[in-house]
Parts: sequence; structure tokens; C-alpha cells
Amino acid sequence: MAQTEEIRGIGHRVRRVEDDRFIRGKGTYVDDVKLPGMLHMAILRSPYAHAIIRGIDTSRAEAHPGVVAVVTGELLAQHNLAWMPTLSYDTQAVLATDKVRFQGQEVAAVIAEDPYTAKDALELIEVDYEPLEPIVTPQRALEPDAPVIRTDKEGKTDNHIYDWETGDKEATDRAFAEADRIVALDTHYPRCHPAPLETCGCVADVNPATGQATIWMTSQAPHAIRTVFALVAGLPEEKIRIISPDIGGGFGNKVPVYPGYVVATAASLLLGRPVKWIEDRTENLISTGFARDFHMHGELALKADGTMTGLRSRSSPTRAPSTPTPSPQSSRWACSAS
Amino acid sequence: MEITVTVNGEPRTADVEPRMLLVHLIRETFGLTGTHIGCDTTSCGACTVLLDGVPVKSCTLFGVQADGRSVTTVEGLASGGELHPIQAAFKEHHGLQCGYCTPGMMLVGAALIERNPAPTEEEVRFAISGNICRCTGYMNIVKAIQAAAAARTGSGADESAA
Repeated sequence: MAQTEEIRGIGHRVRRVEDDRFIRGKGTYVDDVKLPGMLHMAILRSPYAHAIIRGIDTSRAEAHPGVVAVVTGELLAQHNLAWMPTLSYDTQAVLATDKVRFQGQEVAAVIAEDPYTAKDALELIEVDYEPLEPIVTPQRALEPDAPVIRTDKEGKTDNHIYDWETGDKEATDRAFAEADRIVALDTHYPRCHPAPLETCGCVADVNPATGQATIWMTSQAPHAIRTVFALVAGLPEEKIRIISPDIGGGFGNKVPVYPGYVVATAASLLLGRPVKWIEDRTENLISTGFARDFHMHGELALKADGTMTGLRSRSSPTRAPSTPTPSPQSSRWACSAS
Repeated sequence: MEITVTVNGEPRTADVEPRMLLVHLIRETFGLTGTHIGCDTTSCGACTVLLDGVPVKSCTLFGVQADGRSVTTVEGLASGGELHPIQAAFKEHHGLQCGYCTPGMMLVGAALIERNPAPTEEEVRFAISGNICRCTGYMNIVKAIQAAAAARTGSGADESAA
């Protein structure tokens, strides 16, 4: 039997099983997955943060050599796939139908024989936008005359999403009432993006014979994603297999379900061929989950000798127009507050 | 147009669109997926390869610019079963986590120790300043490159490996 080194706990050297592949360039990240007959998808995104879509003309893109299909929200709506549930009991557009609700929102997708052609054809899609006032701060979002972003929600007349409180209010109030000194600070905890070195993407393969969907995805949460896919497609979970191959960093950015995954899967289902979608860096930065962006007010109750007796804080986080899944912190744009 | 590129020592011929990026030529046409794409904008260095021995970002060169030249990718670092000292050092010093930046980091490191057999920490940090790692921080990457330099010259300066 092989001798093992004595295990010393913290600081003990551990041989990682994946290193031998990685140092030889033999990792398998999602963009390394290549299937026979595979098509490539590129996504057209909104340049506006808030705009009505009056119409989308895809005819020139469809006629472009090498283009197999152009997918719009309207086409998805015919299959009841234009909106999807989130794991936070909300709904989210897969491809915009009525209007766009954040800059970079997915509006249409081109499926082509190769990625260069798919990107070329994006430029041939004409979208007729009617720009509306955008909201770029949580403060503006809560003003009574602010435009309502979630007009898709029946009866929604403002941009407020939720209030959430925690702590012992009575004890905190008492600490502040009895404090010798109170200091307060208004601050902004700025937005950051996890920016994993590998962007998001997937290869979706829906087998037309068996109906089995296999999706290779740079996902940190393959099980949660499978649940959402089952909900969107109305399929039992055993018909869906999500494979997370080697992941080029995630940091929370690869937890949510992004529309690109759903469009690629829908396209594979409709076309009967595997579809690959790999985001570029710009798409990753403008449209996937970011973090922080809290406008915060903090107060500290102190005794004369500096002993801290109470802490109170209020924060208005910038939030997505759709409550994202499943991490409440990493979200897609726009505003609300508590 | 038809081009011939020596890839990891072997001449390869391909008929490519003039606009095809070198990184796509390497990954898609030649099937060498160890070279990664991170930013598309020359910022992150995940796509770094050696062009005639010099590190370049293959997302910002066209494939046709490599015509008649020699390209080394991560797959060309080891010779036979033998790891290049830089690969052995990255493994030994935990110079990687997710592995995505690793090929670029190792190629930059390999080129550095080729021309500077005993780089200082500052020289290593300068050499990898065009390569981004999002997982580990750079401590162990720097350590690995210095250890590889020491191992290569047999100077025995690789104390941290002990």
C-alpha cells in the first residue's frame, strides 16, 4: 500500500486532481465543447435602458447566407417561452416582447452555421425602439412620477419591490436613546462585477428523437438551473441534464439563469441541432449579475468612552427589473429600494 | 486565403478568411483549445501564445499574420511526457485555481525565463502585467515563475519548493 504523508491540517499540501489537465491545456471549458452539427448563436441587445419595441424586422438577417434562424420574443411567445420564472418567485423576459427594461437586454438571437456569420447578421436586424425615460438611481425609482419599469406586472403602479428588516428594533432604539454620542454616515457601496475570466455560455443539445435536453453550461448551480428549465419547458427534470464542465471562474456571476441559455435551448429544440452560445466580455459586463451597489445610511450609538452600543443601517440597493435567481445580491440592473 | 503556420513545431496549413482571429485559428481550425478567450480586447491575456517565441495576445492578431511564422501554445510546452519547468512549477506552487488564465500565464513565464534566467519578483510582476487572474491573486503565480527559472538553471534557489 502506498504511504501517505502525515496529515497536518491547515497548511498541509494537497495535490489537486484537475491541475494535470489544466497545465497541459487539456481542460474542458464550455467553449471547448464541440458537437456534430452544432450551430452558433449571437444575441442582439438593447442599446436603451427603457424603450418600447414598436417592431423588429429580421428579414435581412434571415436572408443572410449561413443564417439558419432568427429568434425573437414574438416567436418564443408562440411557444409560451418568452417569459420565464425566476427562483425568487418573479418572472423574467427571455427575449423582450413589449419593451426593454434595461440596457443590454436580450432582444433577438441569430442562429448560424458559424459564430462570425451569427454576429454579422445581428447588424442586419432592425429594431424600431421608442425610447422611454430610464431610471438610473434607486432614489429616482421611488419618486411618485417615476416611470414604471415593470408594466408587465398587473396592477403595478410604482417601482418598489420589497421591504426587508432584521434585528431587535426595541433594543436598538433604546441604545440610541441612551447614547452619549451618535455618528451617522451616508455612503455608496459601489457596484462591482465578478467578471470571471471565462464569460457565460452554453451548448444546448435537445435530442429530437428522445426529447432529452443536455446542456453544457458554465454554471455554479446546475441543479437550480435544471429546476428552472423544467419549469420553463414544462418538462420533468429527468428529461433535462445540465453539465457544468470546467468553470473558468464564477464568483456568483454564474449562479443565475440567463436568457441566453434558454434561447439556445429553445433554438436547439426548434431546429433539432445543438446550439452553442458564448457571451463576449461586453455582454458579460452589461447584462449578467453584478454585486453591491448599495446606497447606505449607517448610524452608530456610542458611550462617551467610545464603547459601541448600537448600530442601525438602512440601504437602498439597486435591483434588477426582474428579481434574479437565486442570489438576491447579484442582479440585473434597475431599481427599487428598502 | 491559404496559410502555413508552424504550430508547436509542426507545419499546419489552413484556408482561412482574412478576418479570422489568430485565437480562432488556433482553437477552431487547429483544434487546440488550451488557448482561451477572456476579454476579446487585449486586456486579460488568457489567449496569450508565443509567436516566434514572443508572447502575443492571439485575440488581437489575425490568423493570416501568423503565416510563415511559428506559434507555441500551451499544448507545445511539454516535450513528450516531460513537463516544461514552468508547468511543473505551476503545479508544485499552486499557481492556478480555475485554470483559465493558466496557459497564458505559463507562456509569458516561459518566455520570460528564456531571456532572463533569474528574474526578480518585480520583473516577473512586470512580465505578467498583461495577464489577469481572477481566482488566486498573483502570489503563487510569481512564486511559480521564479521557481521555474531556478529549476531551469539548476541554481538551487528554489527554496520555496522544499
